[in-house]
Amino acid sequence: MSSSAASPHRKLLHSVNLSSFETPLSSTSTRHLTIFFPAPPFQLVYWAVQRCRMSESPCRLTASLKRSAHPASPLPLRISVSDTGVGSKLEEFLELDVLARETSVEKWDGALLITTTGINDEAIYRYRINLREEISSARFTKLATTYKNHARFSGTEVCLCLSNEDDVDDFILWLVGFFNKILMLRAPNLACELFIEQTGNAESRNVCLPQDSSDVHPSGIVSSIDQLVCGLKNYALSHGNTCDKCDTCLLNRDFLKIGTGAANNVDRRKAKGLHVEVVIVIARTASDLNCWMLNCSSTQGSQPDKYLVRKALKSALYHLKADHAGHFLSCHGQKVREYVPDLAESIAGLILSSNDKEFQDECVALLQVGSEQEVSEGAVRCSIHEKMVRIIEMNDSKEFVEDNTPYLFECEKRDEDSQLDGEDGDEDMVFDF
Amino acid sequence: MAEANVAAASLFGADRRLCSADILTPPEARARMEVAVLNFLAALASPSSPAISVLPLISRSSANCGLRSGLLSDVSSVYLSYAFCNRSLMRASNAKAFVRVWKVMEMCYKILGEGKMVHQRELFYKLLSHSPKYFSCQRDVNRAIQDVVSLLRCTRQSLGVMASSRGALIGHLVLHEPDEEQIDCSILGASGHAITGDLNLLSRLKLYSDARYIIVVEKDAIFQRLAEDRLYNQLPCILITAKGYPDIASRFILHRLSQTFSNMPIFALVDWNPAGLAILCTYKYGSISMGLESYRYACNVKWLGLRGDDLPLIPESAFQELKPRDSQIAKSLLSSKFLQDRHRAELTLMVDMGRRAEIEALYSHGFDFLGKYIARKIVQGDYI
Repeated sequence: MSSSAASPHRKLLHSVNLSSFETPLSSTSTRHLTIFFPAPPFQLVYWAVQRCRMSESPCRLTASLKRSAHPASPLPLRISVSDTGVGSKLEEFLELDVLARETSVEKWDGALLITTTGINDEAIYRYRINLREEISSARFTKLATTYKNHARFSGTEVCLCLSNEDDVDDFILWLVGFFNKILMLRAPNLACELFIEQTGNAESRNVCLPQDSSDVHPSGIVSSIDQLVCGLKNYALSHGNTCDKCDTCLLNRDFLKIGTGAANNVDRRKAKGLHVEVVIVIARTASDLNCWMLNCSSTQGSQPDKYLVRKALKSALYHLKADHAGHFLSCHGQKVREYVPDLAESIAGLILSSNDKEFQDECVALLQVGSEQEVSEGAVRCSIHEKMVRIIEMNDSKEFVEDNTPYLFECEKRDEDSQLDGEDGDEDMVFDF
Repeated sequence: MAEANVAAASLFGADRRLCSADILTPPEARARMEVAVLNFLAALASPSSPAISVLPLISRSSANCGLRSGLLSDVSSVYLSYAFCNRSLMRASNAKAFVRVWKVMEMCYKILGEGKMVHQRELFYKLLSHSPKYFSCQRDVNRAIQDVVSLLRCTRQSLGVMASSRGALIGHLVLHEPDEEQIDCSILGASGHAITGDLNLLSRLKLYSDARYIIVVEKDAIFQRLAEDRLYNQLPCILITAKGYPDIASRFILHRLSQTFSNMPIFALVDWNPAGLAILCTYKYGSISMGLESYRYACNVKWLGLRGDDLPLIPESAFQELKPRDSQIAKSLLSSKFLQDRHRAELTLMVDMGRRAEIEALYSHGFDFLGKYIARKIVQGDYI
């Protein structure tokens, strides 16, 4: 994706960044696949997905891009997003007005054409919303209504027109990529389609997504977060990484390390719960460490709450670390772990140098190294090593709580323990023999 | 060793605040190390809450020291109490020192198992070749040894480690090691009899003397001067030096002399500077860094010279400025618990004047002046 800053599309793209994470990941490249941007086409798709999920029945979502080749046409890029989910309440579209004002009139006139109907509605309603209109009462213009004659269905279609720019090809490319990511949601009961058409030209190109209908999963049994996991894994495995050598070393699913997290916020005022789910997938390739993150929130009509996203992300990172502790040791943990081989060697050396069989047997029994007559120093050392590493990994995510750590000897009269390390100051060097 | 133990018990038996390092036989010391290992492994392998144990080391700091006055004599000593300094592997800054403790323990365990004793210097080279990552200088080794002493609460010699002594003796003293020849210290050359670092050996020595005084001399040069002049033929005395800060063996033998010849007062001849007073205090009270064992060897040492009253004897040109190191030592001494008032006054005078003087300055009155000076002071009872 090129980075031309001129177009509104690019501007829209860069206008939203997820806040940086506090917990450092030891990765050299991190790519965030935050899907939900408050930008017209993208936000529209997001809301469409939400409406589909809320309908709790199989739905279809279609995004289409029609590009007119006629140079005379002022705003020839027609984007429409339609879905068969629950009807729209329209209020969410008002959130786009800030963006409308930030975009120049030549690029987008701030108008949206909305057609929507709820399952219990008698008619299909059409509206034109002009987000640039100052007077709020004049924003909505009701257009012709079509009666349904007792047919039961629901859905929404939203159309807008953007100006035709040179970089619209890049935009299309990006949109295709974006749509692929939408597919990754693998929302149950949702079929997604993307159509791109160029009309008025001898060579018209049509692109349809998805090409493979097997990507549609109507099953409602698998939880949404598992769907996200599955989708992100597929993405990662199918060269979702873009390191320059697009290597094929991600063939094995088992190399993927996955963490999931969720956060909830029940807002009583709005009488709807906010729920955010996050999936992180990390894979080490020969040259690099790649990390993908996917977050998804289920609310209708509002931006994902940044605080909730952060909370869910932290939860996902925590689980990732807990499941794969050895791979994600903090810097501190790594430093401490460096000392383990020497320490294990020392203690094993002491044990094996003893001529006290009882002492050695007791050590072996504690370590559960096996009850052979001849226990090797290597076996003892490995056992000690492995136990220490495991303890370091386990404790790595927690704050180091000294209260819980046992002392080597039970000491009498422990009044106030000094927490300092043992390097006494040089002032006593005068008396140091 | 039994002799020292009995004395120690009667003086300090009732005092529960004092933390002491036990004098152990090799099997006893090894047993303690084995307990350490077993405890460590038990914590590692705990099914419910495996952990890497923290090492509780008796804190060797002035905050954890106190001054004890002897019940039966006027010997006071510095001792360490039960404040701990916890060494943990999980703190990256501690981790190396943590491993050092185990490395030293492993080495000492093997040494004791072979029935040997090593000097600190030898131990340094062994550890340096085996684990250079952890031991880069002698100080690392010495500190780690003291950590093991304070962890296991046994003396350094119990671990199989000796520190070589720089000390020497000369004078009206006959030493007799069992099954060896007697050594008459009054007929030796000016460098005297070298004190061994082996406390066991020192404890076995039989001591015979008709001296009236023991004189502790700070510096080797002064010791040799007095030895050459055979001061001890004019004044029936024993001269002892550790050639600087006293090592434990020198203190040990001084203590034995004071116990064996309890009527012999002990006088110190040190430079007039904070370091000299610090040396005197170490003989007198013991040290903090080896506080778990050195309290045993405190002696009632009196300050003969150089003192403030002697300054008129020193030519102006012989005075030197106090250096930053002197000021550091002075500060440390002034804030200590054990400094007597009269010693404190002397130290304050040094600091106020900002000057120091060496004993050698007395040579300006002639090379035989020193002997006369010492004799006069003793006879006049001019000591504090």
